[in-house]
Amino acid sequence: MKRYRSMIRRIMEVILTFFLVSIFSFILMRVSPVDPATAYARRAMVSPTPEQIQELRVELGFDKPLVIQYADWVHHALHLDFGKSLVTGRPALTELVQSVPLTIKVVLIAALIEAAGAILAGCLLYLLPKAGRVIAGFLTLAAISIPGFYVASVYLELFATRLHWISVVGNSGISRFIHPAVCLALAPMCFYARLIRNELQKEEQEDYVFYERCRGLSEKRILFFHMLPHGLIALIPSFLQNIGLTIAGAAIIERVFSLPGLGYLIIDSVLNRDTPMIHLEVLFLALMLVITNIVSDLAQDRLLKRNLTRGENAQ
Amino acid sequence: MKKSEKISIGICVFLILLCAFGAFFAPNDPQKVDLLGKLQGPSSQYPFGTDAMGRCVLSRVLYGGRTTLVIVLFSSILILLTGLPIGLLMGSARKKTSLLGESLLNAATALPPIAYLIVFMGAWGSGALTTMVAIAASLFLRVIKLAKSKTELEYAKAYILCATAAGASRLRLLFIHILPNILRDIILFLCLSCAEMIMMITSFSFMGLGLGDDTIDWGTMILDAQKVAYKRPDMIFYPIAVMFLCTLAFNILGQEKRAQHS
Repeated sequence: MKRYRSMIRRIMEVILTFFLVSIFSFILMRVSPVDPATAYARRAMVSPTPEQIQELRVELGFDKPLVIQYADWVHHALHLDFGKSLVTGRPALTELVQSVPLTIKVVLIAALIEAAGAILAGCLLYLLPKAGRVIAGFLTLAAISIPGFYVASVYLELFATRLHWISVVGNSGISRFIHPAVCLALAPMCFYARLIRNELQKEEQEDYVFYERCRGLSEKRILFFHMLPHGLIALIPSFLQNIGLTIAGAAIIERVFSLPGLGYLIIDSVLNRDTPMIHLEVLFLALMLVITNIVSDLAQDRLLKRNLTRGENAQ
Repeated sequence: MKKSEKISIGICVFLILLCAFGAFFAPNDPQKVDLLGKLQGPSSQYPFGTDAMGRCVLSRVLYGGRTTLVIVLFSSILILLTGLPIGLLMGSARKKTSLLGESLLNAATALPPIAYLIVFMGAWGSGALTTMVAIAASLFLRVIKLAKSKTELEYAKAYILCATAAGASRLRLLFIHILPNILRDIILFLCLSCAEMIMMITSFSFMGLGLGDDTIDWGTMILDAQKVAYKRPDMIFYPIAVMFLCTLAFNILGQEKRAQHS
Protein backbone atom coordinates (compact mmCIF):
# COMPACT_ATOMS: atom_id res chain seq x y z
CA MET A 1 0.00 0.00 0.00
CA LYS A 2 2.74 2.36 1.00
CA ARG A 3 4.58 1.51 -2.16
CA TYR A 4 1.62 2.43 -4.34
CA ARG A 5 1.19 5.65 -2.46
CA SER A 6 4.74 6.70 -3.12
CA MET A 7 4.40 5.70 -6.75
CA ILE A 8 1.24 7.73 -7.20
CA ARG A 9 2.92 10.61 -5.50
CA ARG A 10 5.89 10.41 -7.81
CA ILE A 11 3.76 10.33 -10.93
CA MET A 12 1.75 13.26 -9.63
CA GLU A 13 4.91 15.16 -9.00
CA VAL A 14 6.13 14.57 -12.52
CA ILE A 15 2.88 15.74 -14.06
CA LEU A 16 2.71 18.72 -11.74
CA THR A 17 6.27 19.67 -12.53
CA PHE A 18 5.55 19.77 -16.25
CA PHE A 19 2.32 21.62 -15.72
CA LEU A 20 3.91 24.21 -13.46
CA VAL A 21 6.94 24.69 -15.64
CA SER A 22 4.96 25.11 -18.81
CA ILE A 23 2.40 27.45 -17.32
CA PHE A 24 5.09 29.42 -15.53
CA SER A 25 7.15 30.03 -18.64
CA PHE A 26 4.00 30.67 -20.64
CA ILE A 27 2.55 33.29 -18.37
CA LEU A 28 5.85 35.08 -17.97
CA MET A 29 6.37 35.28 -21.71
CA ARG A 30 2.97 36.80 -22.27
CA VAL A 31 2.98 39.16 -19.30
CA SER A 32 6.26 40.67 -20.33
CA PRO A 33 6.62 44.44 -20.64
CA VAL A 34 7.85 43.99 -24.19
CA ASP A 35 5.21 42.73 -26.58
CA PRO A 36 6.54 39.50 -28.15
CA ALA A 37 5.10 40.32 -31.55
CA THR A 38 6.73 43.75 -31.56
CA ALA A 39 10.02 42.29 -30.45
CA TYR A 40 9.88 39.70 -33.19
CA ALA A 41 8.93 42.26 -35.81
CA ARG A 42 11.80 44.53 -34.81
CA ARG A 43 14.21 41.72 -35.39
CA ALA A 44 12.71 40.43 -38.58
CA MET A 45 12.14 43.74 -40.36
CA VAL A 46 14.07 46.97 -40.47
CA SER A 47 11.31 49.34 -39.43
CA PRO A 48 8.01 47.54 -39.03
CA THR A 49 4.75 49.44 -39.41
CA PRO A 50 1.96 48.92 -36.85
CA GLU A 51 -0.03 47.02 -39.50
CA GLN A 52 2.83 44.61 -40.06
CA ILE A 53 3.16 44.05 -36.33
CA GLN A 54 -0.56 43.38 -36.10
CA GLU A 55 -0.31 40.92 -38.97
CA LEU A 56 2.51 39.11 -37.26
CA ARG A 57 0.59 39.04 -34.00
CA VAL A 58 -2.30 37.27 -35.69
CA GLU A 59 0.06 34.97 -37.53
CA LEU A 60 1.89 33.96 -34.35
CA GLY A 61 -1.36 33.64 -32.42
CA PHE A 62 -0.51 36.31 -29.85
CA ASP A 63 -3.86 38.06 -30.29
CA LYS A 64 -5.94 35.31 -28.68
CA PRO A 65 -6.67 35.20 -24.92
CA LEU A 66 -3.97 33.68 -22.75
CA VAL A 67 -5.95 30.58 -21.79
CA ILE A 68 -6.66 29.70 -25.41
CA GLN A 69 -3.06 30.27 -26.35
CA TYR A 70 -1.98 27.94 -23.58
CA ALA A 71 -4.53 25.31 -24.51
CA ASP A 72 -3.39 25.52 -28.13
CA TRP A 73 0.19 25.13 -27.08
CA VAL A 74 -0.55 22.12 -24.87
CA HIS A 75 -2.62 20.56 -27.62
CA HIS A 76 0.23 20.92 -30.07
CA ALA A 77 2.84 19.90 -27.52
CA LEU A 78 1.01 16.65 -26.87
CA HIS A 79 1.44 15.95 -30.56
CA LEU A 80 5.13 16.78 -30.20
CA ASP A 81 4.75 20.00 -32.11
CA PHE A 82 6.42 22.74 -30.12
CA GLY A 83 6.19 25.44 -32.73
CA LYS A 84 8.92 26.90 -34.87
CA SER A 85 11.99 28.75 -33.77
CA LEU A 86 11.47 32.45 -34.42
CA VAL A 87 15.10 32.82 -35.47
CA THR A 88 15.80 29.93 -37.80
CA GLY A 89 12.23 29.05 -38.72
CA ARG A 90 12.89 25.37 -38.18
CA PRO A 91 10.79 23.23 -35.83
CA ALA A 92 11.87 23.78 -32.24
CA LEU A 93 12.00 20.08 -31.51
CA THR A 94 14.44 19.44 -34.39
CA GLU A 95 16.74 22.15 -33.10
CA LEU A 96 16.65 20.70 -29.61
CA VAL A 97 17.15 17.09 -30.67
CA GLN A 98 20.19 18.10 -32.69
CA SER A 99 21.94 19.76 -29.80
CA VAL A 100 21.06 17.46 -26.91
CA PRO A 101 23.38 14.47 -27.60
CA LEU A 102 26.42 16.72 -27.45
CA THR A 103 25.46 18.10 -24.06
CA ILE A 104 24.58 14.68 -22.68
CA LYS A 105 27.98 13.37 -23.74
CA VAL A 106 29.80 16.28 -22.13
CA VAL A 107 27.78 15.98 -18.94
CA LEU A 108 28.28 12.23 -18.65
CA ILE A 109 32.02 12.50 -19.21
CA ALA A 110 32.07 15.29 -16.65
CA ALA A 111 30.17 13.10 -14.20
CA LEU A 112 32.74 10.33 -14.61
CA ILE A 113 35.60 12.76 -14.05
CA GLU A 114 33.77 14.21 -11.06
CA ALA A 115 33.21 10.81 -9.46
CA ALA A 116 36.76 9.56 -9.96
CA GLY A 117 38.36 12.87 -9.02
CA ALA A 118 36.17 13.41 -5.99
CA ILE A 119 36.94 9.98 -4.56
CA LEU A 120 40.67 10.46 -5.07
CA ALA A 121 40.72 13.99 -3.74
CA GLY A 122 38.41 13.12 -0.86
CA CYS A 123 40.69 10.32 0.34
CA LEU A 124 43.68 12.57 -0.12
CA LEU A 125 42.04 15.29 1.96
CA TYR A 126 41.30 12.74 4.64
CA LEU A 127 44.80 11.24 4.69
CA LEU A 128 46.79 14.45 4.64
CA PRO A 129 48.36 15.67 7.88
CA LYS A 130 46.63 18.55 9.62
CA ALA A 131 48.48 21.45 8.00
CA GLY A 132 48.11 19.96 4.54
CA ARG A 133 44.47 19.28 5.22
CA VAL A 134 43.77 22.91 6.00
CA ILE A 135 45.57 24.13 2.88
CA ALA A 136 43.98 21.52 0.61
CA GLY A 137 40.60 22.24 2.14
CA PHE A 138 41.03 25.90 1.35
CA LEU A 139 42.09 25.07 -2.21
CA THR A 140 38.97 23.01 -2.82
CA LEU A 141 36.86 25.84 -1.44
CA ALA A 142 38.65 28.25 -3.75
CA ALA A 143 37.97 25.99 -6.74
CA ILE A 144 34.28 26.06 -5.90
CA SER A 145 34.35 29.84 -5.77
CA ILE A 146 35.78 30.42 -9.25
CA PRO A 147 33.11 30.82 -11.93
CA GLY A 148 33.10 28.17 -14.64
CA PHE A 149 33.51 30.55 -17.54
CA TYR A 150 36.78 31.85 -16.14
CA VAL A 151 38.08 28.33 -15.54
CA ALA A 152 37.23 27.54 -19.15
CA SER A 153 38.86 30.72 -20.47
CA VAL A 154 42.04 30.10 -18.54
CA TYR A 155 42.05 26.45 -19.61
CA LEU A 156 41.82 27.44 -23.25
CA GLU A 157 44.34 30.22 -22.86
CA LEU A 158 46.82 27.97 -21.14
CA PHE A 159 46.55 24.70 -23.04
CA ALA A 160 45.52 25.94 -26.46
CA THR A 161 47.17 29.32 -26.88
CA ARG A 162 50.28 29.05 -24.76
CA LEU A 163 51.21 25.40 -24.70
CA HIS A 164 49.51 24.23 -27.92
CA TRP A 165 48.57 20.93 -26.28
CA ILE A 166 45.04 21.03 -27.58
CA SER A 167 43.52 22.60 -30.62
CA VAL A 168 40.42 24.69 -30.33
CA VAL A 169 38.90 23.89 -33.70
CA GLY A 170 38.51 20.76 -35.76
CA ASN A 171 38.49 18.35 -32.87
CA SER A 172 36.65 15.14 -33.43
CA GLY A 173 35.94 12.13 -31.31
CA ILE A 174 36.32 12.24 -27.58
CA SER A 175 38.77 15.12 -27.43
CA ARG A 176 35.96 17.40 -28.50
CA PHE A 177 34.09 16.65 -25.30
CA ILE A 178 36.81 16.01 -22.83
CA HIS A 179 38.07 19.58 -22.47
CA PRO A 180 34.69 21.13 -21.72
CA ALA A 181 33.97 18.18 -19.45
CA VAL A 182 37.13 18.79 -17.42
CA CYS A 183 36.19 22.44 -16.89
CA LEU A 184 32.64 21.50 -16.06
CA ALA A 185 33.75 18.86 -13.57
CA LEU A 186 36.18 20.97 -11.57
CA ALA A 187 33.82 22.73 -9.16
CA PRO A 188 31.49 19.79 -8.40
CA MET A 189 34.52 17.56 -8.04
CA CYS A 190 35.95 19.75 -5.29
CA PHE A 191 32.53 20.07 -3.72
CA TYR A 192 32.11 16.32 -3.48
CA ALA A 193 35.70 15.81 -2.39
CA ARG A 194 34.89 17.93 0.68
CA LEU A 195 31.73 15.95 1.34
CA ILE A 196 33.59 12.65 1.03
CA ARG A 197 36.17 13.90 3.49
CA ASN A 198 33.40 14.81 5.94
CA GLU A 199 31.76 11.43 5.50
CA LEU A 200 35.06 9.65 6.10
CA GLN A 201 35.62 11.63 9.27
CA LYS A 202 32.15 10.63 10.42
CA GLU A 203 32.69 6.98 9.55
CA GLU A 204 35.93 6.97 11.50
CA GLN A 205 33.94 7.25 14.74
CA GLU A 206 31.83 4.18 13.96
CA ASP A 207 32.17 0.98 15.94
CA TYR A 208 32.91 -1.19 12.96
CA VAL A 209 36.10 0.75 12.21
CA PHE A 210 37.28 0.11 15.74
CA TYR A 211 36.41 -3.56 15.37
CA GLU A 212 38.31 -3.82 12.12
CA ARG A 213 41.35 -2.21 13.66
CA CYS A 214 41.16 -4.84 16.37
CA ARG A 215 40.96 -7.52 13.72
CA GLY A 216 44.32 -6.27 12.56
CA LEU A 217 43.29 -5.07 9.12
CA SER A 218 45.60 -2.55 7.58
CA GLU A 219 44.55 1.10 7.64
CA LYS A 220 44.49 1.17 3.83
CA ARG A 221 42.19 -1.80 3.70
CA ILE A 222 39.86 -0.29 6.27
CA LEU A 223 39.75 2.99 4.36
CA PHE A 224 39.23 1.70 0.85
CA PHE A 225 37.15 -1.42 1.46
CA HIS A 226 35.10 -0.46 4.48
CA MET A 227 34.89 3.25 5.22
CA LEU A 228 34.82 4.52 1.65
CA PRO A 229 31.90 2.37 0.44
CA HIS A 230 29.91 3.30 3.53
CA GLY A 231 30.61 6.97 3.07
CA LEU A 232 29.85 6.95 -0.64
CA ILE A 233 26.42 5.37 -0.18
CA ALA A 234 25.24 8.48 1.61
CA LEU A 235 26.41 10.72 -1.23
CA ILE A 236 25.21 8.78 -4.27
CA PRO A 237 21.65 10.19 -4.34
CA SER A 238 22.84 13.78 -4.21
CA PHE A 239 25.48 13.05 -6.83
CA LEU A 240 22.90 11.65 -9.22
CA GLN A 241 20.70 14.68 -8.67
CA ASN A 242 23.65 16.89 -9.39
CA ILE A 243 24.03 15.40 -12.86
CA GLY A 244 20.66 16.91 -13.76
CA LEU A 245 21.76 20.29 -12.48
CA THR A 246 24.99 20.05 -14.45
CA ILE A 247 23.00 19.84 -17.69
CA ALA A 248 21.63 23.28 -16.94
CA GLY A 249 25.01 24.53 -15.77
CA ALA A 250 26.77 23.33 -18.91
CA ALA A 251 25.35 26.29 -20.81
CA ILE A 252 28.14 28.62 -19.74
CA ILE A 253 31.01 26.23 -20.45
CA GLU A 254 29.58 25.33 -23.84
CA ARG A 255 29.41 28.97 -24.71
CA VAL A 256 33.10 29.47 -23.96
CA PHE A 257 34.10 26.38 -25.92
CA SER A 258 31.69 27.29 -28.76
CA LEU A 259 30.21 23.82 -28.54
CA PRO A 260 26.82 23.81 -30.29
CA GLY A 261 25.08 21.93 -27.50
CA LEU A 262 21.94 22.55 -25.52
CA GLY A 263 23.49 25.29 -23.43
CA TYR A 264 24.57 27.18 -26.49
CA LEU A 265 21.07 26.90 -27.86
CA ILE A 266 19.56 28.12 -24.60
CA ILE A 267 21.70 31.23 -24.40
CA ASP A 268 21.06 31.97 -28.05
CA SER A 269 17.33 31.75 -27.67
CA VAL A 270 17.36 33.88 -24.53
CA LEU A 271 19.46 36.50 -26.33
CA ASN A 272 17.02 36.45 -29.26
CA ARG A 273 13.95 36.08 -27.04
CA ASP A 274 12.91 33.11 -29.11
CA THR A 275 9.73 32.19 -27.21
CA PRO A 276 8.90 28.71 -28.57
CA MET A 277 12.48 27.59 -28.09
CA ILE A 278 12.60 28.83 -24.51
CA HIS A 279 9.38 27.00 -23.64
CA LEU A 280 10.75 23.77 -25.03
CA GLU A 281 14.19 24.14 -23.49
CA VAL A 282 12.91 24.84 -20.02
CA LEU A 283 10.55 21.92 -20.34
CA PHE A 284 13.44 19.73 -21.40
CA LEU A 285 15.55 20.88 -18.46
CA ALA A 286 12.65 20.03 -16.17
CA LEU A 287 12.38 16.60 -17.80
CA MET A 288 16.06 15.92 -17.21
CA LEU A 289 15.78 17.02 -13.59
CA VAL A 290 12.70 14.90 -13.03
CA ILE A 291 14.52 11.89 -14.45
CA THR A 292 17.63 12.38 -12.35
CA ASN A 293 15.51 13.06 -9.26
CA ILE A 294 13.60 9.83 -9.74
CA VAL A 295 16.80 7.88 -10.30
CA SER A 296 18.27 9.43 -7.19
CA ASP A 297 15.14 8.62 -5.15
CA LEU A 298 15.22 5.04 -6.34
CA ALA A 299 18.90 4.77 -5.52
CA GLN A 300 18.24 6.15 -2.07
CA ASP A 301 15.44 3.67 -1.42
CA ARG A 302 17.50 0.77 -2.65
CA LEU A 303 20.64 1.74 -0.75
CA LEU A 304 18.76 2.49 2.44
CA LYS A 305 17.01 -0.84 2.26
CA ARG A 306 20.32 -2.59 1.77
CA ASN A 307 21.80 -0.81 4.75
CA LEU A 308 18.81 -1.68 6.91
CA THR A 309 18.91 -5.37 6.07
CA ARG A 310 22.60 -5.39 6.72
CA GLY A 311 22.00 -3.84 10.12
CA GLU A 312 19.41 -6.49 10.96
CA ASN A 313 21.77 -9.28 9.96
CA ALA A 314 24.43 -7.87 12.17
CA GLN A 315 22.11 -8.01 15.14
CA MET B 1 32.71 29.09 19.00
CA LYS B 2 36.45 28.95 18.61
CA LYS B 3 38.45 32.13 18.27
CA SER B 4 39.76 31.21 14.81
CA GLU B 5 36.21 30.70 13.63
CA LYS B 6 35.19 34.09 14.96
CA ILE B 7 38.09 35.68 13.11
CA SER B 8 37.32 33.98 9.83
CA ILE B 9 33.63 34.90 10.07
CA GLY B 10 34.67 38.49 10.83
CA ILE B 11 36.98 38.63 7.81
CA CYS B 12 34.32 37.19 5.53
CA VAL B 13 31.62 39.59 6.65
CA PHE B 14 34.08 42.46 6.32
CA LEU B 15 34.97 41.40 2.76
CA ILE B 16 31.34 41.13 1.74
CA LEU B 17 30.51 44.52 3.22
CA LEU B 18 33.56 45.99 1.53
CA CYS B 19 32.37 44.71 -1.84
CA ALA B 20 28.85 45.96 -1.19
CA PHE B 21 29.73 49.43 0.08
CA GLY B 22 33.12 49.91 -1.57
CA ALA B 23 31.50 52.22 -4.10
CA PHE B 24 31.52 54.99 -1.49
CA PHE B 25 35.31 54.97 -1.56
CA ALA B 26 35.64 54.92 -5.33
CA PRO B 27 38.37 57.41 -6.31
CA ASN B 28 36.83 58.39 -9.67
CA ASP B 29 33.54 58.55 -11.49
CA PRO B 30 33.16 55.06 -13.01
CA GLN B 31 31.29 56.39 -16.05
CA LYS B 32 33.68 59.20 -16.90
CA VAL B 33 35.12 58.51 -20.35
CA ASP B 34 38.63 59.77 -21.06
CA LEU B 35 39.60 58.58 -24.53
CA LEU B 36 43.02 60.22 -24.38
CA GLY B 37 44.00 58.31 -21.27
CA LYS B 38 42.80 54.86 -22.26
CA LEU B 39 44.50 51.62 -21.23
CA GLN B 40 46.83 53.36 -18.82
CA GLY B 41 48.79 51.31 -16.33
CA PRO B 42 48.22 51.71 -12.61
CA SER B 43 48.98 55.21 -11.34
CA SER B 44 48.18 57.24 -8.26
CA GLN B 45 45.09 58.71 -9.86
CA TYR B 46 43.91 55.39 -11.31
CA PRO B 47 45.16 52.67 -8.88
CA PHE B 48 44.14 49.83 -11.25
CA GLY B 49 44.68 51.79 -14.44
CA THR B 50 42.05 52.64 -17.05
CA ASP B 51 40.07 50.50 -19.47
CA ALA B 52 39.58 50.75 -23.24
CA MET B 53 37.44 53.86 -22.82
CA GLY B 54 39.68 55.49 -20.26
CA ARG B 55 37.45 54.75 -17.32
CA CYS B 56 38.89 54.04 -13.88
CA VAL B 57 39.05 50.27 -13.38
CA LEU B 58 39.10 50.40 -9.58
CA SER B 59 35.97 52.52 -9.42
CA ARG B 60 34.24 50.24 -11.90
CA VAL B 61 35.18 47.16 -9.90
CA LEU B 62 33.76 48.75 -6.76
CA TYR B 63 30.54 49.87 -8.45
CA GLY B 64 30.21 46.45 -10.09
CA GLY B 65 30.42 44.88 -6.65
CA ARG B 66 27.69 47.18 -5.43
CA THR B 67 25.39 46.20 -8.30
CA THR B 68 25.88 42.48 -7.85
CA LEU B 69 25.81 42.40 -4.07
CA VAL B 70 22.80 44.66 -3.77
CA ILE B 71 20.88 42.29 -6.02
CA VAL B 72 22.00 39.21 -4.14
CA LEU B 73 21.76 40.54 -0.59
CA PHE B 74 18.49 42.34 -1.15
CA SER B 75 16.79 39.24 -2.53
CA SER B 76 18.24 37.10 0.27
CA ILE B 77 16.93 39.43 2.96
CA LEU B 78 13.58 39.64 1.26
CA ILE B 79 13.42 35.85 1.18
CA LEU B 80 14.48 35.61 4.81
CA LEU B 81 11.68 37.96 5.84
CA THR B 82 8.95 36.34 3.75
CA GLY B 83 9.90 32.73 3.02
CA LEU B 84 11.04 31.82 6.52
CA PRO B 85 7.79 32.74 8.35
CA ILE B 86 5.72 30.99 5.69
CA GLY B 87 7.89 27.89 5.99
CA LEU B 88 7.60 27.98 9.79
CA LEU B 89 3.83 28.28 9.66
CA MET B 90 3.56 25.52 7.08
CA GLY B 91 5.79 23.27 9.13
CA SER B 92 3.72 23.84 12.24
CA ALA B 93 0.46 22.83 10.59
CA ARG B 94 -0.15 19.68 12.61
CA LYS B 95 -2.23 17.74 10.16
CA LYS B 96 -0.33 16.08 7.38
CA THR B 97 -0.08 18.46 4.49
CA SER B 98 -1.94 17.36 1.45
CA LEU B 99 -0.31 15.28 -1.21
CA LEU B 100 -1.04 18.01 -3.68
CA GLY B 101 0.56 20.82 -1.68
CA GLU B 102 3.71 18.88 -1.05
CA SER B 103 4.01 17.74 -4.64
CA LEU B 104 3.54 21.31 -5.73
CA LEU B 105 6.41 22.44 -3.53
CA ASN B 106 8.63 19.58 -4.68
CA ALA B 107 7.85 20.26 -8.30
CA ALA B 108 8.61 23.95 -8.03
CA THR B 109 11.89 23.43 -6.20
CA ALA B 110 13.05 20.82 -8.69
CA LEU B 111 13.99 23.51 -11.20
CA PRO B 112 17.49 24.90 -10.79
CA PRO B 113 17.95 28.68 -10.34
CA ILE B 114 19.52 28.90 -13.79
CA ALA B 115 16.20 27.80 -15.34
CA TYR B 116 14.41 30.64 -13.55
CA LEU B 117 16.98 33.07 -14.89
CA ILE B 118 16.52 31.72 -18.41
CA VAL B 119 12.75 32.04 -18.29
CA PHE B 120 12.70 35.49 -16.73
CA MET B 121 15.38 36.87 -19.01
CA GLY B 122 13.77 35.31 -22.04
CA ALA B 123 10.48 36.90 -21.13
CA TRP B 124 11.44 40.28 -19.78
CA GLY B 125 14.79 40.88 -21.35
CA SER B 126 17.95 41.12 -19.30
CA GLY B 127 18.22 43.74 -16.59
CA ALA B 128 19.00 44.21 -12.94
CA LEU B 129 15.38 44.06 -11.83
CA THR B 130 14.67 40.92 -13.86
CA THR B 131 17.70 39.23 -12.34
CA MET B 132 16.60 40.18 -8.85
CA VAL B 133 13.07 38.88 -9.39
CA ALA B 134 14.37 35.65 -10.91
CA ILE B 135 16.74 35.04 -8.01
CA ALA B 136 14.10 35.83 -5.42
CA ALA B 137 11.60 33.54 -7.14
CA SER B 138 14.05 30.66 -7.34
CA LEU B 139 15.08 31.00 -3.69
CA PHE B 140 11.63 31.69 -2.25
CA LEU B 141 10.16 28.21 -2.57
CA ARG B 142 13.43 26.56 -1.65
CA VAL B 143 13.62 28.46 1.61
CA ILE B 144 9.98 27.66 2.37
CA LYS B 145 10.65 23.98 1.77
CA LEU B 146 13.80 24.00 3.89
CA ALA B 147 12.16 25.91 6.75
CA LYS B 148 9.16 23.62 6.63
CA SER B 149 11.13 20.40 6.86
CA LYS B 150 13.39 21.81 9.59
CA THR B 151 10.39 22.97 11.61
CA GLU B 152 8.83 19.53 11.33
CA LEU B 153 12.03 18.02 12.66
CA GLU B 154 12.21 20.46 15.57
CA TYR B 155 8.59 19.82 16.49
CA ALA B 156 9.44 16.25 17.45
CA LYS B 157 12.02 17.35 20.01
CA ALA B 158 11.52 17.35 23.74
CA TYR B 159 11.93 21.06 24.34
CA ILE B 160 8.83 21.74 22.28
CA LEU B 161 6.86 19.40 24.50
CA CYS B 162 8.19 21.20 27.57
CA ALA B 163 7.41 24.60 26.13
CA THR B 164 3.90 23.48 25.22
CA ALA B 165 3.45 22.12 28.73
CA ALA B 166 4.57 25.48 30.09
CA GLY B 167 1.74 27.06 28.17
CA ALA B 168 3.54 28.62 25.21
CA SER B 169 1.30 29.66 22.37
CA ARG B 170 1.88 28.43 18.85
CA LEU B 171 3.40 31.69 17.67
CA ARG B 172 5.65 31.81 20.70
CA LEU B 173 6.75 28.25 20.00
CA LEU B 174 7.51 29.11 16.42
CA PHE B 175 9.25 32.42 16.71
CA ILE B 176 10.88 32.25 20.15
CA HIS B 177 11.80 28.59 20.40
CA ILE B 178 12.05 27.09 16.94
CA LEU B 179 13.24 30.06 14.90
CA PRO B 180 16.63 30.44 16.65
CA ASN B 181 17.27 26.74 16.17
CA ILE B 182 16.64 26.67 12.46
CA LEU B 183 17.88 30.15 11.58
CA ARG B 184 21.44 28.92 11.34
CA ASP B 185 20.61 26.36 8.69
CA ILE B 186 18.62 28.84 6.66
CA ILE B 187 21.43 31.38 6.75
CA LEU B 188 23.92 28.70 5.78
CA PHE B 189 21.76 27.85 2.81
CA LEU B 190 21.41 31.49 1.83
CA CYS B 191 25.17 32.10 2.09
CA LEU B 192 25.91 29.19 -0.20
CA SER B 193 23.26 30.25 -2.68
CA CYS B 194 24.55 33.84 -2.59
CA ALA B 195 27.92 32.58 -3.77
CA GLU B 196 26.22 30.58 -6.49
CA MET B 197 24.09 33.55 -7.53
CA ILE B 198 27.04 35.92 -7.78
CA MET B 199 28.78 33.49 -10.09
CA MET B 200 25.65 33.04 -12.13
CA ILE B 201 24.97 36.74 -12.53
CA THR B 202 28.54 37.34 -13.61
CA SER B 203 28.50 34.40 -16.00
CA PHE B 204 25.30 35.58 -17.61
CA SER B 205 26.49 39.12 -18.09
CA PHE B 206 29.78 37.72 -19.40
CA MET B 207 27.76 35.99 -22.10
CA GLY B 208 25.95 39.14 -23.06
CA LEU B 209 22.88 38.74 -20.86
CA GLY B 210 23.92 41.68 -18.78
CA LEU B 211 22.17 43.81 -16.25
CA GLY B 212 21.42 46.63 -18.66
CA ASP B 213 23.47 48.99 -20.76
CA ASP B 214 24.48 51.61 -18.24
CA THR B 215 24.82 49.26 -15.27
CA ILE B 216 28.35 48.44 -14.29
CA ASP B 217 28.95 44.82 -13.43
CA TRP B 218 31.78 42.35 -13.23
CA GLY B 219 30.76 40.10 -16.09
CA THR B 220 30.78 42.89 -18.66
CA MET B 221 34.08 44.17 -17.26
CA ILE B 222 35.65 40.74 -17.63
CA LEU B 223 34.38 40.52 -21.19
CA ASP B 224 35.76 43.98 -22.02
CA ALA B 225 39.06 43.18 -20.36
CA GLN B 226 39.39 40.02 -22.41
CA LYS B 227 39.20 42.04 -25.60
CA VAL B 228 42.17 44.20 -24.62
CA ALA B 229 44.12 41.40 -22.96
CA TYR B 230 46.96 41.80 -25.44
CA LYS B 231 47.62 45.32 -24.16
CA ARG B 232 46.65 45.11 -20.51
CA PRO B 233 46.71 41.42 -19.52
CA ASP B 234 46.38 42.40 -15.87
CA MET B 235 43.06 44.18 -16.30
CA ILE B 236 40.99 40.99 -16.25
CA PHE B 237 42.32 40.01 -12.84
CA TYR B 238 40.82 42.91 -10.89
CA PRO B 239 37.14 42.07 -11.33
CA ILE B 240 37.91 38.35 -11.17
CA ALA B 241 39.90 38.72 -7.97
CA VAL B 242 37.30 40.84 -6.18
CA MET B 243 34.52 38.56 -7.25
CA PHE B 244 36.51 35.52 -6.22
CA LEU B 245 37.10 37.00 -2.76
CA CYS B 246 33.42 37.69 -2.47
CA THR B 247 32.21 34.21 -3.44
CA LEU B 248 34.96 32.65 -1.36
CA ALA B 249 33.81 34.66 1.66
CA PHE B 250 30.23 33.49 1.18
CA ASN B 251 31.36 29.88 0.75
CA ILE B 252 33.54 30.02 3.85
CA LEU B 253 30.66 31.50 5.83
CA GLY B 254 28.47 28.65 4.66
CA GLN B 255 31.07 26.03 5.59
CA GLU B 256 31.79 27.73 8.89
CA LYS B 257 28.17 27.59 9.93
CA ARG B 258 28.00 23.97 8.93
CA ALA B 259 31.04 23.11 11.02
CA GLN B 260 29.50 24.78 14.06
CA HIS B 261 26.31 22.92 13.58
CA SER B 262 27.84 19.47 13.50
